[in-house]
Amino acid sequence: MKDHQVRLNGIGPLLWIGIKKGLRSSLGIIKVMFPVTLAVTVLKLTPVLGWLAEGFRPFMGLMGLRGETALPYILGSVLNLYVAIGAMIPLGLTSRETTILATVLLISHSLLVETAVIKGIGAPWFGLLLMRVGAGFFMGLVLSWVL
Amino acid sequence: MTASLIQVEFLKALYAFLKVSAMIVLIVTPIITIMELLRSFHLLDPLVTPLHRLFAWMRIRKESVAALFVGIIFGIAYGGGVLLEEKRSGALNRRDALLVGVFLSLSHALIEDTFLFVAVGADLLVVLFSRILLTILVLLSLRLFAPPERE
Repeated sequence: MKDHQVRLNGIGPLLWIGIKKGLRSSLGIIKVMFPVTLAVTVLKLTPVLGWLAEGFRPFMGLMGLRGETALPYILGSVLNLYVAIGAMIPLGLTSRETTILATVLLISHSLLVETAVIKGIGAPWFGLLLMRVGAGFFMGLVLSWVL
Repeated sequence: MTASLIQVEFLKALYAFLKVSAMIVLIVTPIITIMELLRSFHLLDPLVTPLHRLFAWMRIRKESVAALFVGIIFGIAYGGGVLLEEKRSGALNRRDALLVGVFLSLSHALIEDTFLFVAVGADLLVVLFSRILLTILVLLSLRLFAPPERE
């Protein structure tokens, strides 16, 4: 009885609240990913993805990535990482490609929302926006050379 | 393209999607759970003073360090929120805003976002350390070209 009470008043309920929030966040991420994965799978069956890949191959190639990865790169840069991951799934990337794209995207992502925050705190937002995109690309170059 | 080939494409995508989803539930859920507990109960607060010393080379105010730390660990939305308040109250000077802006732009949500990509199959060490290293290099070069004013 006492044991039970200690647990109730201690870490137990807090942990439960945390786990529930954790699960809710994970499911939220998965829900965002699903329609994007579906859409990119459909796109793969049309010639559109091929055209896109062709156009971006010179640029993505500098980072050791295939042209198709321009899709998750652009979506992640403008929107967010969940959308980018949803778009990565149907492409069947190797672990090297996944690591490079992940690094580039982690440095430079959700630029619409996050640049607004940076602007809000009074930092030179346009310079920092260019710096992020440039730094991501630079790390992509370095990793394609190192890995 | 024949119907069966289209089916194969969809099944492959579905299989990959389920695999990533399972990894996210297994890896990201516990991370978010721990983050949630740390944030709700301010368990990282005692770290701010030692961190201020760690960030001494940046020469920014202790309040900015606290907000920066929140941003590095929990994400730009959280650290940014605290900084927006400071900006509104006039406590955040231009130099702090620039340094914190550079740091937060390059390195934020270092735990959750990193493990999200680990769940997809990225290399944890490469992804994490290339980002931290890049941030330090950029800040050091910033210090070189724009040295802190003397008090």
